[in-house]
Amino acid sequence: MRKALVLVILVGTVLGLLVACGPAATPTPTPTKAAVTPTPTAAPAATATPTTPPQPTATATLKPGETPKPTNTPTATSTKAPPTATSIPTATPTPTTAPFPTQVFAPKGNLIEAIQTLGLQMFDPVREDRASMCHYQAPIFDTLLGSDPKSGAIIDGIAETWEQSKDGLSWTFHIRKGLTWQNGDPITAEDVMFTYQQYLAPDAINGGTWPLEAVSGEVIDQYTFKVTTKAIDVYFGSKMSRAVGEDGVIIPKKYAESIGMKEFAKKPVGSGPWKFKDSATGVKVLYEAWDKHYRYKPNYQTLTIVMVPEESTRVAMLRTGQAAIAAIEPDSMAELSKAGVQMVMVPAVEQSAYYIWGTYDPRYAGDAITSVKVREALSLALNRQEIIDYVMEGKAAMPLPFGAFRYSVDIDVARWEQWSKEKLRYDPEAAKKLIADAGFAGFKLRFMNYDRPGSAYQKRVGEAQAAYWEKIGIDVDMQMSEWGVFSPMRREYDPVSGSQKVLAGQLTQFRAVGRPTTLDRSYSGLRWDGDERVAGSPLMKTPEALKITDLYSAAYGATDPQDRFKKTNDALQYMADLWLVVPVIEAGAYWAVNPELVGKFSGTPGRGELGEVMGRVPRPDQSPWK
Amino acid sequence: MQRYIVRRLLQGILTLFAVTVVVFALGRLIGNPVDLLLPDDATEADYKRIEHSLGLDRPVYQQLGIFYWNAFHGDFGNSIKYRRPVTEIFFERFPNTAKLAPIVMLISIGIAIPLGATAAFFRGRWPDKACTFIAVFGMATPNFWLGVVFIYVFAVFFQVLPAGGMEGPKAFILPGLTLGISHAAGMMRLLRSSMLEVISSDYVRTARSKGLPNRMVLLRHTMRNALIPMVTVGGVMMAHLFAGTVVVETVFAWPGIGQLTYQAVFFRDYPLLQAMVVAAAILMLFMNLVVDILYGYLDPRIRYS
Repeated sequence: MRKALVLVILVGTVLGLLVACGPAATPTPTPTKAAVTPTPTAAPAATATPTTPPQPTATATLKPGETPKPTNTPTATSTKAPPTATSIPTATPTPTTAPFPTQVFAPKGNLIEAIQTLGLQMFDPVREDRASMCHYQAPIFDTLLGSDPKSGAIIDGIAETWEQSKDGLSWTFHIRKGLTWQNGDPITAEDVMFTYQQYLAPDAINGGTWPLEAVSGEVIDQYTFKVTTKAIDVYFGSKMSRAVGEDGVIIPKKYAESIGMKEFAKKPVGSGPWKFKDSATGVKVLYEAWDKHYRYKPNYQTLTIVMVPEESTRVAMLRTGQAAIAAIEPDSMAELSKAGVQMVMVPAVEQSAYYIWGTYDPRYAGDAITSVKVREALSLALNRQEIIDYVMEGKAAMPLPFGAFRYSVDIDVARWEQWSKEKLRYDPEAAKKLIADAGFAGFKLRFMNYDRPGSAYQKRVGEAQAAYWEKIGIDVDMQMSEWGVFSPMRREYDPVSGSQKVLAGQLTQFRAVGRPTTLDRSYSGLRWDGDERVAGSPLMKTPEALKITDLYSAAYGATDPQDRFKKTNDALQYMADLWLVVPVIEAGAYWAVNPELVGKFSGTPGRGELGEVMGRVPRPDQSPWK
Repeated sequence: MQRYIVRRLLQGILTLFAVTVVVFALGRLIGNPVDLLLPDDATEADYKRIEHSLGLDRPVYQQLGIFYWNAFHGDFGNSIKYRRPVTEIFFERFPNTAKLAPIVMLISIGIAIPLGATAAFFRGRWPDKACTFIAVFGMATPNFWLGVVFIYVFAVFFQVLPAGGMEGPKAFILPGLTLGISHAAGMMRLLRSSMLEVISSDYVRTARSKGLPNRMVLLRHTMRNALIPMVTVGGVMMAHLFAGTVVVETVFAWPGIGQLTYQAVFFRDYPLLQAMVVAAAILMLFMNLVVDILYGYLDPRIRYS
């Protein structure tokens, strides 16, 4: 028996030592102290412009590089700080072309990226175009409008210029002349029209911009396409850029018609910087460089995106040179940095937040969470900086109001930075006082905690939230759940109140993805006629819910930039003051890079995946990390 | 024998029916795939549109009926995730798992037989204890942990084997070893017990009293008979391996049936999940039947009626 025990200890020790020694013995170059990219607090162009940027009128058409005349946008409220809206990105019809470094087309070698999942591995981008597909679709397919790699702003794409009509009900896109598809066919307005028609297919799963918002499309001439919308939506044009969504992808009419959409999905042709070569379902996708893209010339001859579900395997592949870029979780960053692996953090990809459901539901009348003071106290009880430092290893930032980011358009960034500092501060004493004043000391809070797919840190953030709430005397009843179980509950309604049958009266984790259009996410959460109905329901149109509809509709319909700026900030303020949808941290997307295989690069703010980025990733000899 | 086989096949059909009902019901209890298909801010109209296009807006009993009718005609439907026939996806992935299974089997047998025989032969002495320790270690060690340790040791530390994927023959070694070791442990314990039972039997004693050398007694008389129970375990193990090893295929990024099952569960891909479970159940039933029939040939004392 004793001998067996000694043997167990010996074997355990040897294995332990081998594992412990692993990281130090990697073939990667000397570890650098500056291995980690800057924290997301330094989001590009977030507050760089002290005054409101020039915003052209809705109908103005500009050529790339042309600078619109400056106009001052008035502040939305009486804050002392001058109105500060970021100049980039803009979701308004503001054609801009960001300067791009000239890339020489001399591709060499194979670039291998290891990611958790290849999603549906579907190469018909119209029938399946959600964000998670961008990893493997974006290298092949271009969008009508582009996104600026430095700021995440909306810039020209296949369309060189675009404008909204005076009545706000139609949009005209002017296709860049001389562009071709990867098979050599020219890109024309007919392709845009064809793509629009494909978006209307009943089996198309996409962001819904075309089927839900467009009424008709029209080919004006070979290079001009006009779309009429159901209502005025100042952000329709912006939705044609991946900075906002995925519905701007364009596919070739002639080629797709010649082989049919089913075959197209097997042998896709696009106009992006990478040509599709091969795909093995659930294994990998292969591409080869294409030299005719108007903006990006790949630096590698081939690109391989491989699916490796397990993070430790991805990291091992990265360290052994089997992969050059690997998706990781934020808690792995510190350890990997020490091992000489370089990090790329894409800032402002999403907010981890929480929702408070059904506060208007009569079943919960008189409950603590119906009190605005209590809801504000819940926020004050959270030490967000500690969550950022210890749960997120410093790889996150203080958030702005729910759904608002430092690159969001039409918002007064300085004002919301200040708001974040004041209103999202850690003040447990003030929190206790607010709860006591409201008469709910020691109340019981039902909290459903879960990880959202793609945001594996959320449960840990939720556990920290629960601990802070308990610290100020709240009796937290935390229930651990899973997205697949939680999500359907959002759409199961109580027949009397119209709020969620199970979720009403509870606080749950939630998430807002980063996009320049500020109001979209909070509106879909709070509107009474939406799915989430956090502020009111079709059966209980609360004054708050009606006010939300008024304020948000006004902002969406404001074609004048100054007017829209004011109305957007007004709506944001009203939403923030309700404390129903509350941000906790602003998180990014996290990538580990083998510096011997890939040169220094950065992601596009707000876009967690590297789909578009692959066209500009340099080799180590072109852009060394040191 | 023929009556026995027919009876077993009928039992198998009933088992398959029960399995599909359970999987069908459980699959629908764990969530709706549309929640994973649609973006964060999808509207009720989006949900209805997609549910309708996938046939998920029909009552569950109708969905089950359609499933049986189609399955009876060899059509297991289209994968919700991949939007392709599940049979097509299954047969794309199955060869990958099938390539790994025999290697795991060989490694398991290669470890289990010498260790089990040694343990039995040296019963109660240090080689027995050492082998028992190895078996306990193998059984107690979770696959995923062993896999991760192997990756760090052989891929990251020594850099002699790839960390994942299935490019080249070297890629088979780590997943094969990981699975082989864990399966070998149980087989080794079984062989040891079986051999000890045989060693104490009359015919072995007779063989020894006739003056046969130890080696011959061990190989001819003991081992042959002791291996019969191993056939049962081997058959079930083979079925398990062919049905896919979820954890190891996930850890080693091995694009086989196990990884596909994991994705189907995670994505609530009902048609794919149902097909995977039916395939696993069929494999299991088939292998059990083969083992039972083989038993009759291996052990003349066993007769089926």
